[in-house]
Amino acid sequence: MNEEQMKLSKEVVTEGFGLIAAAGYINNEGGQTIADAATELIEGGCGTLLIDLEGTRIINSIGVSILLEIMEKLLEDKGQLAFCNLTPTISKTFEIMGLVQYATVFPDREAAQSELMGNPPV
Amino acid sequence: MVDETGSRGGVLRRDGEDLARWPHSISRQVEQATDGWTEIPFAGTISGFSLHLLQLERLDETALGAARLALRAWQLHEELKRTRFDERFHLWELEAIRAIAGSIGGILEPERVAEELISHLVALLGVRSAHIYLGDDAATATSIGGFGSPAIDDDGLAEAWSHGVYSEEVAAIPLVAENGTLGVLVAAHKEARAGTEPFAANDIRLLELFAVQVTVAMESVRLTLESLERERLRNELEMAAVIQSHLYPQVFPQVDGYRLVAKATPSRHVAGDTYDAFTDDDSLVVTITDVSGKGVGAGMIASGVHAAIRLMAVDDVGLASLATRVNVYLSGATEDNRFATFAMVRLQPDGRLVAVNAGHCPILIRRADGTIDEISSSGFPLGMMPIAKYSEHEDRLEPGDLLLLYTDGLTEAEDPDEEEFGVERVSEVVSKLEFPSAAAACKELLGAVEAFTCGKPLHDDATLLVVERIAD
Repeated sequence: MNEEQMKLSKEVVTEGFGLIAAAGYINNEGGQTIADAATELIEGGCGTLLIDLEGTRIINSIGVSILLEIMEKLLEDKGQLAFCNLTPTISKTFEIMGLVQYATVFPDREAAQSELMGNPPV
Repeated sequence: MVDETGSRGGVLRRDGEDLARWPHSISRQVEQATDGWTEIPFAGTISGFSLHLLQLERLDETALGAARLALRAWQLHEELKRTRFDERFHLWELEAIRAIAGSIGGILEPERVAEELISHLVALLGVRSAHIYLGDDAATATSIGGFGSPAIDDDGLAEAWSHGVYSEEVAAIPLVAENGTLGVLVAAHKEARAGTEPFAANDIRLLELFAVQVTVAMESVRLTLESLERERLRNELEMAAVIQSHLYPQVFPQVDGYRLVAKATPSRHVAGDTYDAFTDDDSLVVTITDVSGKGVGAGMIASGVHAAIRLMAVDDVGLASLATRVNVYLSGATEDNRFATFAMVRLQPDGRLVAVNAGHCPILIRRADGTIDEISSSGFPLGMMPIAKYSEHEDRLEPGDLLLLYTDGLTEAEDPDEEEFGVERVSEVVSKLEFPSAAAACKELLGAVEAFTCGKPLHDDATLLVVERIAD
């Protein structure tokens, strides 16, 4: 098992809906990379953000706190945060750390996009 | 505050770090290039905060009071978030410990156990390096799983093995089980928001908890594997015993004028004693073999001798010649300290017999009148000396006579005072038989041995074969 560099891509899927795909170790550096991408999408007008974590096996406590900040930022602007492709361990961690309290978890990207694009935030 | 004070811009700072700027266009460079800034520090519980206003027009206590309240509320909100985060982090720790305990129960490969543990450890502690080393000692220990680059060298590992290593950047905790140290758990370079930070007391506590988990997991794997191996060996021994038991004659050959009874008591699953009875043309052949040592090794040699004798006996060779051939074979095929005592008797229908005794206990003949004749060893045990020679003894078994072949497991059986049963007692018991027969001899002799040892199990394989020339 070796430290995995974060591989990240971001795109505006449709107006107001941004997608971040992040694979790798979500630590302080990986988390900040995601935060920077999220900030760019949010400031670009995306009120709904989907973070696809396929390929991510480990997230540490700093990574979790950064994701919590992203969630707070979106909620302040009455936005929506969602996650998909979580491993069972990460899903459990998100549940314990409160990330799923105000974010939605989907099994995969298709399910997430289908639901989110059909129900944009008010 | 910018609007309330009629300022052109404002910056809110805490401990020198910018928290907010209004308007956003006032960057740090613009701020530094502009004159007319007024700093308003705050005190008390919100000391550390400061408000910087550009070209402040007015400032009244109401606005300041509102600012203080807002900052205090925000500070409390942040503290609440931190407290909640810490509480949830403790739950995360518990969940990780539970998940590890649940997952390691079914895993038998140490490497997989290590991977599971390390992924939880890295996630919880936020370290950049974590490794588990296992081995008999520090010099031979190797990493069985890890994340990131190893943080200690061989010297560090040796130090950690004996008493642990605890520094700001590296924590190496020995994994101590009942039998001694199994290995070391090493974690290093704990991450902070920017860069790294030293391990705190809580981090060491968590690492020590993980170290206990690792130790329990590895011991569990070791004990489970040992148990499976014992089970496998037991199954193999039982299989070997079954196979060996089929080498013994399942049914004695029916030869006119003769009756046979035999009893074999191995001291372990697989015996070093073996006996056989078969016919060759119209003669009855009985053999007994006792391989030195006990257990599977002796059993395998005994089975080999058994097979060799069976094969060679039908070649119409004399008993002495057969013993010589088997001796040469055994001398070359076994370790230097392995040998087999051996006795073989061929009986003709008219009672004539030929016997060979290679280092075995005396063959006994109980005559009908109760006297005992002995046929002693005429040569070395088989396998002891390749050039050994053997001689045959000729005799007769009359109606009512008994021929006894036995192994020293019987004669060396000990009473509570460690006195051996001995050949003399065998002779005495057999001589005094009231109704001599093969069955009676077997029963009385084995009963006498059991009484002599006060029922204690024999420490060696014991075999007894009795041939009776049926009385007219």
